[in-house]
Amino acid sequence: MRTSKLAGGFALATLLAVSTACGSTDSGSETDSSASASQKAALTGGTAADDSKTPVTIGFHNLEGGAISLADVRLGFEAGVKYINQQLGGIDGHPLKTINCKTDGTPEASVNCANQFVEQKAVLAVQGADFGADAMLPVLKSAGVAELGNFPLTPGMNSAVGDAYFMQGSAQEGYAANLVQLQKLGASKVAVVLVDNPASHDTYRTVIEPAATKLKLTTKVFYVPAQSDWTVQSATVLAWGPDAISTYVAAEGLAAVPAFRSAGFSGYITAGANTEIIPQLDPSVLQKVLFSAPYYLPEFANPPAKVKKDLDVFEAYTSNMPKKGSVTQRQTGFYTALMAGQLLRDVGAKTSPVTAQVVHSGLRTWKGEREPFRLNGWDCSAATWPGTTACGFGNVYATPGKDRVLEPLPDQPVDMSAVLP
Amino acid sequence: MSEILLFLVLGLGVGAVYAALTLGVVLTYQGTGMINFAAAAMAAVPMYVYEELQQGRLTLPVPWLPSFDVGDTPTWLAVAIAVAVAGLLGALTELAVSRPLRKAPPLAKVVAAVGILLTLQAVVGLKYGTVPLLRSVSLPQGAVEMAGVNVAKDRLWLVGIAVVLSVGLALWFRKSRMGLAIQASAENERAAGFARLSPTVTGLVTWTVSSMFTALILVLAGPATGTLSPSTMPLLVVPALAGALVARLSSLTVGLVGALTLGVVQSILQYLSQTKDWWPEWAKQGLTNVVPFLVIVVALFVLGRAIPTRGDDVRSSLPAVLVPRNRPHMVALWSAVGLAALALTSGTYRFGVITSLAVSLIALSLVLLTGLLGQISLAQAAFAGVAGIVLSKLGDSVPFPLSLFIAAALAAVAGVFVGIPALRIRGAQLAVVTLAAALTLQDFVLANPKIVSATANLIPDPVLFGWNLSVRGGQDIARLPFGVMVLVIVVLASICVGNLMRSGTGRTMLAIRSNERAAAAIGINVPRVKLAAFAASSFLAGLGGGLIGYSRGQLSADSFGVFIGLSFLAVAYLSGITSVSGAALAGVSASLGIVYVFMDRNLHLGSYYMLITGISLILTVLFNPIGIAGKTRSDYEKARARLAPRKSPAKPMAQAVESDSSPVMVDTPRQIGDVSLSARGVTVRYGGVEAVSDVDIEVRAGEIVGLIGPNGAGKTSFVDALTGFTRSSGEVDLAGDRLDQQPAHERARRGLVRTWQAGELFEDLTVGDNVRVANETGNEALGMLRDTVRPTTPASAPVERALALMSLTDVADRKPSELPLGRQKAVGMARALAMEPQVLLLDEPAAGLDSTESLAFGDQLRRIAATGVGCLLIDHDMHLVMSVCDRVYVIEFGKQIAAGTPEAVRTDPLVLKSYLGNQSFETTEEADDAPVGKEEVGS
Repeated sequence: MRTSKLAGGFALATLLAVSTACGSTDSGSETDSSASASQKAALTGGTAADDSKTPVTIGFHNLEGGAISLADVRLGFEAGVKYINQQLGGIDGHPLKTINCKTDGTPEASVNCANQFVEQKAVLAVQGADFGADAMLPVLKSAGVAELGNFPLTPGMNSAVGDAYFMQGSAQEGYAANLVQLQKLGASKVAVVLVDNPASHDTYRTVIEPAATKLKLTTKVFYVPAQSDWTVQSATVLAWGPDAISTYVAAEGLAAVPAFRSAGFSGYITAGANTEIIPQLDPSVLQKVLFSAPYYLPEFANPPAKVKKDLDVFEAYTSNMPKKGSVTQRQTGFYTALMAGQLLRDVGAKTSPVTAQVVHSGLRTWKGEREPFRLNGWDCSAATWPGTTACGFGNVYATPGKDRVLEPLPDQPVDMSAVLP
Repeated sequence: MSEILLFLVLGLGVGAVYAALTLGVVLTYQGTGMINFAAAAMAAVPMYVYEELQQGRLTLPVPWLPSFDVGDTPTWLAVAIAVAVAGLLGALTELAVSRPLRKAPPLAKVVAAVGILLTLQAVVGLKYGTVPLLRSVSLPQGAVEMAGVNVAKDRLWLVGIAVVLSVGLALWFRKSRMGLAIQASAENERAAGFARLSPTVTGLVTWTVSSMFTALILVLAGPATGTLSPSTMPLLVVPALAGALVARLSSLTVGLVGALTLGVVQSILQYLSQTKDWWPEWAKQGLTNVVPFLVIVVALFVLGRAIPTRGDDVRSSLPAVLVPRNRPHMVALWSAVGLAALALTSGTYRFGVITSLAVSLIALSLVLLTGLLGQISLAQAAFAGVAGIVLSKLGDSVPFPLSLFIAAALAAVAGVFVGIPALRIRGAQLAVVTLAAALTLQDFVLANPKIVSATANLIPDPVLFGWNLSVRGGQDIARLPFGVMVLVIVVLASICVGNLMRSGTGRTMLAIRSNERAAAAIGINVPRVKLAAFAASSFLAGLGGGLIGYSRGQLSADSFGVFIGLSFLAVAYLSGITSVSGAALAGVSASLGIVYVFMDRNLHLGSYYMLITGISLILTVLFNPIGIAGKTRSDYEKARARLAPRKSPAKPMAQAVESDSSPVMVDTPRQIGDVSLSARGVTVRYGGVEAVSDVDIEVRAGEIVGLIGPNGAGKTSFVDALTGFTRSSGEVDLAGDRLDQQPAHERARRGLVRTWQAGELFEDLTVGDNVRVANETGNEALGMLRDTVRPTTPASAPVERALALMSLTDVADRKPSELPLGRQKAVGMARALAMEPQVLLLDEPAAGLDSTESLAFGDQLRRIAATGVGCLLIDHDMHLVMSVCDRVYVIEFGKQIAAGTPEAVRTDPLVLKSYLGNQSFETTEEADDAPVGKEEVGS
């Protein structure tokens, strides 16, 4: 499986929140036992599921064991399911049970997962992070099983309207919001650097170019192949003379940002959700580098009180995990589990028993007030970007301060209504 | 202009990275004969070790070994440790894999290299993680202004270091005692062994030195290599292989220049394609990966056959081909087994059975191309992907099964396109071409947004005459009708391939696999057969790709990537690449096949699946090169042989002749007819040397003409020229038919047939088939189609006559290697006679025969000539020549010095002086009464 053959650049950049450097999945034995009082409080006081009741089964598929392995997403998801069963009463008293299916990024492994979910009567397929997920769609669609996830990493999932639902903003929104944010910061000539794959070409033509036209920005796209020498790539980009650079290059961002700076570029660079490159880069390189995230990450400064409470629960349920691992990956898994649990409780409250068909039809009108780790609500009845599977919206842009703590920019999340098609 | 300069310099940096790998590949090939497809995967290990040391950890590439905190490590020490690890890895590879395979055929070496690649990729993923890693900078940073352009200092340092080290390596290779030993081994390993140059030592040194050399430059290269990732790093070997081919796999200096140039070309193309509006959009996708393929294609056309094959001491042949017998009851039995497997399973298991069946078609394509024909292809998955694309593009516009047929046919066209540049090479070099082609198809075609949709490439469900054959319906994820449809296609394809294997086409392919030169000499159009095989195998792969597409419901280009192609080769080899049953077994073991599903559901191997696959592949190559199916069949045959009566040992030729009572053996008086062969002014030049100079010759029907001369006189070159095996000038007429512009196989087909000094028999064929294949040439493509349905035709009368004439009927079912030398020579003669030649050119047919066999051979030659065949006999056995020949030509230093009757020639003063000396020769009749013994001159 090759990263260049995957989804659009934004999807990849978002994936970086779950995949880069300190996202090492080497499982050491050292665990974090220093839970705070508020975290400990979060472990008690809820209602447990009734184990004597029939479990509600969902399928969970996630990259693990292949060329890219994101085991911490699964760990976070399992912690979230544990929290649901221990504290939230399961799914209306029924325990939530997971068919855990590991994928390796190939379509074959994902199809295998979809087959298992259908065969074992899962009522919902939940994606942690899976680059082969598009291949599941015909299987799930035929059996009437809906897909739920955090973010659509693959173009097929991003556009499978009515069959897949993702809680965060669409890839299109991410691309457009980048331009809006850069324009707000004074940019007029933006170089867009994308991973060289069909989705990127499609995205530039259908999303970025029209958005730039509406914003009266001059843009030019640069496609980057896998295993690139970033000195060559940065020189190519800078030969055009941009005043801002919007990158969607996944893990390559770790090499791209310093390469642009080394080549003398001092303007704004967007680096997507790839916040985990921050500790690895020199503060001078990080100046004017913008990061975006769908929700508050633990490293964000001063989260709102409600979000802080969510983070405490998350940290309480993941405190026994190995220290060496990606907190961000775990947060993604935890968030996804919580949203899946919320969905099943909501549709189960209306129609019982919970079946795949009930969940599938319930999703079409599912909406809510506030997601974990942020203050936004969601609405799956109308995609936040036309033609996509996005139920949520809003990206928060931030830039590292002197102490490398992410400081949100003013007027967040970005208002992208001006570039909506 | 300044920008071009900038990208030129930056491209040199990229080229330095390629050069490190290219020179490593060339050196390893020179020392061991192994094209190291795993060069970049191997180099990744020391790079990870170095990056870990930069983080204060020593992490060795052993999955269960913990890391050690070592604190701050000086850069020089980290580099030294990383390079030492590379040297150790290289040495281990030599000892564990390369050395045991030293005498193995190229296919085994290619598969072993793929096994190393997959193993190391898995080890790196397990040990260092799969997340891409930023390379740290070890060389001086900053910028230098050159012609108004700021150029990164570290790239200049990198280029300088790469050039200096490469020149040093080249000097060591050219001048040092060890370097000369390596070159001698590459030229002729066996001869080098006689000169007490140990190939084991040169192998160990080359693996160690090349690994350390590559590692040193790549560790120092830092960000110039791109980020470090187990998923993309191994593919850096492709441009390096392109550089190695440009260097003819032998010149380190040319390799350095080629790799640097490749980097520059890529860099400038990248710049132009990204910044210039005139660059077409469709040509942007995957451009940098297309460049190496184009370089390889151009290099092949320019260099052509100048790319030398290493003088390996290959003693073990390719795995024997298991030709399936025509047993309808077995076909019915295995079909019933397949049907039962489908009917008795459901859900994921039935889906596994279906996937196994579909993948077995791709494995079958490898059986045909690699197993049967010996052409190593790493692009079969890409061909399958082409069919998948076509199916998704056709959509509902073309009904099933026509859509599947069209898709497979276009995959066949892609196969022919890849096959064309591959015609000029073979063996491991072909694997290089197909790997580059696979990468090009993957990035430039399967991922091209102008061809493939980013969001959906739906493939409609198959419907046949209103019958729904879709793979799934509702909760049923694997419907039986779809499974049965796949089974029917697989059974039909397997029957067709089985038919091909036991037909004339199969014999023709095995002849090519055994010996391309000898195949051309019996009139086989080798390029056409290769292209037909590429087409047929790609068609099969396309069928498999189409069925995989139907089973998924949409095209996923990732299902047909380079690594998938490598894994197809791996499972095909593991299962048995030379048999239809091996292909079936490969399907069973494939990803998402029935074994995969079982293991996924029950064993949870997870992260170790890839590691186990890689190690299994290496172990199979080392210990069971015929694969699981081959081993099973071989054990079965051995058990049968133990129960069956033993074959009697083959008789020597002379005895067979004496006892022969065949009616064709009647000694008919010869009649010499008109001129059959007329050659005028034949000249052969090798560089500045004129090996044959303006030689004229005539051979009449029924006449036996001798051509003698001392060693090095140019006799074999003359025969090569007459038969089209070497470039020459002059006229060659065969019964008034000008042949000098015709290729070798065409001359043979028109009746100018030769035998070889070294026999050049097809070791993969029985004696009978060796002779039979010579009478089955012509119309290869149509013949292939016919043979898929009607494979069994009786041996023709000329074949039967040739076997009888050369007294080989009793050993027709033996392999040539089981016969004594005299009878092997007879097989070569019979093979030539089966073509019903007008003129037979015999190149030292009596070499190695004892005098009794030589006399018997003389008798046979007269009988052959009595049938009206003109014979040109080249031999050093003067008793034979003088007794059987009607006329004799003598050449020395490429020039004709005498011609006439044997009597006239042996008394010619010039001949006596230069060749015969003061020797006397008896005629055969006289010699029959003389004591046994023979004179050989000039041997």
